[in-house]
Amino acid sequence: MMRWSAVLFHLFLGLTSSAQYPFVRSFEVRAGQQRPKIHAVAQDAQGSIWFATDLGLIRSDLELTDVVLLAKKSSVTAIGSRGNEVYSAWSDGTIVRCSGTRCDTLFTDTVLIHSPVKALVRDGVGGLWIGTYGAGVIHYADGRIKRFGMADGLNDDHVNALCLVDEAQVAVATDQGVAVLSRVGIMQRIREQEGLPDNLVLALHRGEQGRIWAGTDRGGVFSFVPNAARPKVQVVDLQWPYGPVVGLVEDASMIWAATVDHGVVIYDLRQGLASYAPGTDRPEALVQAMDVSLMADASVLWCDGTDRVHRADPAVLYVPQHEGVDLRHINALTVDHEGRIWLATPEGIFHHAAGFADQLKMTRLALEQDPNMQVVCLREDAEGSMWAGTFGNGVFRIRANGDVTRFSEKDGLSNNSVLSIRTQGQRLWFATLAGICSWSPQEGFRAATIPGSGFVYDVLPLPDGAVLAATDGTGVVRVEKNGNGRRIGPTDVSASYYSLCLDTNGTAWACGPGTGLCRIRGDSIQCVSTARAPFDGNVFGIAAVGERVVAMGESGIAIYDPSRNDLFDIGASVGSYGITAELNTIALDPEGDLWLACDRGLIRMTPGRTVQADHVPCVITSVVWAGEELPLSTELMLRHDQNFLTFHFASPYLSSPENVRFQYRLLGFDPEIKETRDRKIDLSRLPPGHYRFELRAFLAGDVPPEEWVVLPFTIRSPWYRTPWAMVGLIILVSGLLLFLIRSREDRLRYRDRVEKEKARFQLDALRSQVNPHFLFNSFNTLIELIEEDQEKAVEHVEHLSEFFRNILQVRDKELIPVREELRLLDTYFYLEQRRFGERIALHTRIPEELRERLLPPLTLQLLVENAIKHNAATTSEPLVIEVEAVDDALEVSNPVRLRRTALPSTGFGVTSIRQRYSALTNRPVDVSNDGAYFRVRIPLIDKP
Amino acid sequence: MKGPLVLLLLLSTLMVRSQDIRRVSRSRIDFLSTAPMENIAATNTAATGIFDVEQRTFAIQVPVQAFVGFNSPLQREHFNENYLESNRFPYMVFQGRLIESTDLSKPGTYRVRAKGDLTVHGVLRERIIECVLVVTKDGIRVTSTFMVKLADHTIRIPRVVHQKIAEDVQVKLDMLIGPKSTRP
Repeated sequence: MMRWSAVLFHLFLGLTSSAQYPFVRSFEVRAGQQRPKIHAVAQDAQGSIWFATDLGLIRSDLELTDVVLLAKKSSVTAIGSRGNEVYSAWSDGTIVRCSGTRCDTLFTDTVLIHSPVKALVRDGVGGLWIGTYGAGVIHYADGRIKRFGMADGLNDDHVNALCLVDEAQVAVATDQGVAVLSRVGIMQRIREQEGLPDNLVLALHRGEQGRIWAGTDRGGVFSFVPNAARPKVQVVDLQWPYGPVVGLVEDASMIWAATVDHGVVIYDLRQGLASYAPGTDRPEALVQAMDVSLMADASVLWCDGTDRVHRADPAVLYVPQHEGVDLRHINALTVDHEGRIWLATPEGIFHHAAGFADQLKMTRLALEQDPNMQVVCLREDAEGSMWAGTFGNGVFRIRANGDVTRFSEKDGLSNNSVLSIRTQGQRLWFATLAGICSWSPQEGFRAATIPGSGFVYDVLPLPDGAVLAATDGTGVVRVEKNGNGRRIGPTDVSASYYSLCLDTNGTAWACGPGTGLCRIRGDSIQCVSTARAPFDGNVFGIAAVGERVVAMGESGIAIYDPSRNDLFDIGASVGSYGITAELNTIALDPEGDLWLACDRGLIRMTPGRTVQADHVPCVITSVVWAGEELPLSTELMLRHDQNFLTFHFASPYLSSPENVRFQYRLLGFDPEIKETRDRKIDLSRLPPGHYRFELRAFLAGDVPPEEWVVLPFTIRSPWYRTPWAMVGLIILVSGLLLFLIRSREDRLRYRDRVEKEKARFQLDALRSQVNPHFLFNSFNTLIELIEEDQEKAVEHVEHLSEFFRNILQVRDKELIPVREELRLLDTYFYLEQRRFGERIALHTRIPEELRERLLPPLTLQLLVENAIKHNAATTSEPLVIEVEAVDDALEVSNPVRLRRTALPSTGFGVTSIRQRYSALTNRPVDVSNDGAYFRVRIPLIDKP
Repeated sequence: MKGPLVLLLLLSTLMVRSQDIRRVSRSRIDFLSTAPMENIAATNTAATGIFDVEQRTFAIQVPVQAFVGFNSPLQREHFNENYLESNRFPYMVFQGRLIESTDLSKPGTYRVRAKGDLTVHGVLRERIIECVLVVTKDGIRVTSTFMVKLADHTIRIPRVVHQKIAEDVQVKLDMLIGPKSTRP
């Protein structure tokens, strides 16, 4: 298995985002200077998004882009993920598996060059399914490749898409219908004769409850339950007008279909057949979507073959126009008790089912009024009649049976321009350009007095029976039951409020230009968040969703959670910057969906889904040392020299990646929290120790969360500083010390012994040399000589003195050369020969090369002396002593003719030689006596 | 260039495998650009191609320089040099297969889809193009009308001539695939 050299470029600012199309955010993916063509999108378990492009395999969190594998002469044709593993198919026939940025080649097959891979799916039992265009489906598991083609019963060898049916089966979309495939073989085939709208199936997706959704060339979208005895094919729309569907996903009963001709089309399945198309006011921008994917955060991401990816949040959908009615100019909006949506545009008043289902037609109410009449507010009363407030024409009551009644100033209405209508039981409250008034079926109109100019934008009946009025210039006015109004909060400043709402806790909220979001409690008014969107700009309306308040404004849409004091700006995530709207065109339907009207169209928002995304996730994607990615599966144990580390992290927060900020700290080194926008941190020269790298992400301007993402790691001490090394070192040093002491002791003991031996030997030698017999004999000889030959006597004395001088010279030495010993021996033998004359003879045969070798002094002399001492010597049988070299030793031999009157033995002799030798060498001193000859073999010692 | 090579390759492989290979005997390809300021039309009769009746695969090659017509010789020059760069990419190629498994040995009129790779200006796009096949004893007549999006094939139109050249060009195809050859 070939190991890929992972090419890893970290490209900052590789993605730029733009929000040119409302509620769809587009991101440009850049690989350096190059613009990749994105063919397909996948997401791994960490949340990173992977792109199959013509430049290679690209990973991104929509803010930072890595080219994980660079294409040389090939491109990535398909991509699939499971867990953290991402599989990619390359046009050169290679299948690559990546985990993080570690990639390896699974296999290469030339079949995949001619039959390009269209889809890759990894099942739950270790199999990889590869759909090819021309070679059927290839199953790869444990290094074994199995092919399923037409010969095996597959509909066609030309596969367009794959998706998982369950953990072990895949659905296959081919040019000739769909099939269900397992490792065993073809389980099911569905074609036109089995009810498919079109055999040419281009896209597949596993939806909820195991239903498989499929997109076709000209039959639109259909679904089927796989492995059912009779395939129940359900076609979404028999008159599918959006052309070929090349990709699709299902999410919360919505089908997002990538089409060739109309970009991404959204179908709402709950309401029968409904269509929303994000960005259809600029359809050319989204034409030819190629792949559409559902992300972990429930957003939908798609690509269109260019360098751009587009993200839409399913929680925010919008319709720019419907059934010929322009929904971009809605002046008033409300939802009735049946969940129907009522809206007023310059064309009239319409109502419609909440889902905008195609079957339910929009109803235009015939008010038969002035064509210039503008309806600016709508409200349903307790009886089910709809009230429409106009600008200048009073209010109209539209009964369910269609009867229309008009009320004006003549009937007691404060002013003919009514900006807002609210209900309080059976009573209705009207905000007009001249104060507020109420109407009830029993009492008719009743005016209330308020301070100031009387311009009232909104009224809000409170649970305690009082009514709030949002006025122009005089702030919020509270009108008690008796009809008297007084201003809440400071009365000395001019303040205008546009919008009022009541949350489920009974708290009233107000908002106006530049006021921020204000909570009204009794007589006090407290405002928050004037600096952040949408309160930094013009605000069009607020609405309470449960305990939270949604505010729509020019700079976006935000949700305020009072329990956490958290303002969550979803405008950034959906790209709603720059919208404008009429005042208070905001309504909540019974299902909890929020409807907002703005100049882009009618928006449906599911706040519950959106707010789940306010947690900003972050992951540590890799730790790199010296260009090598370290495995993060276990706790990192690092060598002491692996202390230059780069931590890479990402935030798969696709809503607004550009606003993500990170905080990190390295416990064990520096507990201080640092903040960064970068997605990597270099830590260098870390000393050995235990560390915890902690990371958290949050949105710019928000409070960071409490929790950290933690990566503990340890940098080990170098081996020579570990405790074991210390123990080892101590053992080694003490051992060495012990050895030294021991050897020194041995040496001393040895020297001691040698010294002792030497001393004794010297003593013995001296004692032997001054042996009285020797001296006596010498002196006798001398006396004889003096009488006979004085000259010889002198010579004898000279020899004698030389002998003793020699002894004195050598006695301190441990070893002397053979040559010197021989000289000494000669001197000695001369003296003895004076005495014995012809009766003794000494033959020395020692080759010159041995003469430089060493031996203890006086050894030969002692042996010769012994021989003379112990053996008889006569003229007839002279004692011949031979000294000769034998191998590496000297041998002193003499015939055994023991004297009858032997001189007393000093007990010295051979024993003493042996002792001396044992201290010098292992080689033995051989002594042999065969009766005829006495031989002593003394080894020679080499010069040290 | 890649185009003829692919054609040859396909031809050679098909020759070995199959028996019923037919050639395009006559062809006419019209393109029409309808822009607010000007309509441009050109015709090409030099296209060559082969069709494997049994495998239902085909390959068509159109020499770009053989387009004639236009409103002026200069326009033709611009077409070749600036837009389609015919010296770099001399051929347009469409190769693929028919989706519907129609029996083309029987005379009749069939509406089929051709799915394949369309290479124009060196840029390959997968297309599904509907066409009408009329099978007679003289051969198979293929007619089709489809749109080619210039942006899909990275043909850039300068802003100054935006009003004169359409972003989507209509292509009309009328080809006769010869009768079954009686090879020795």
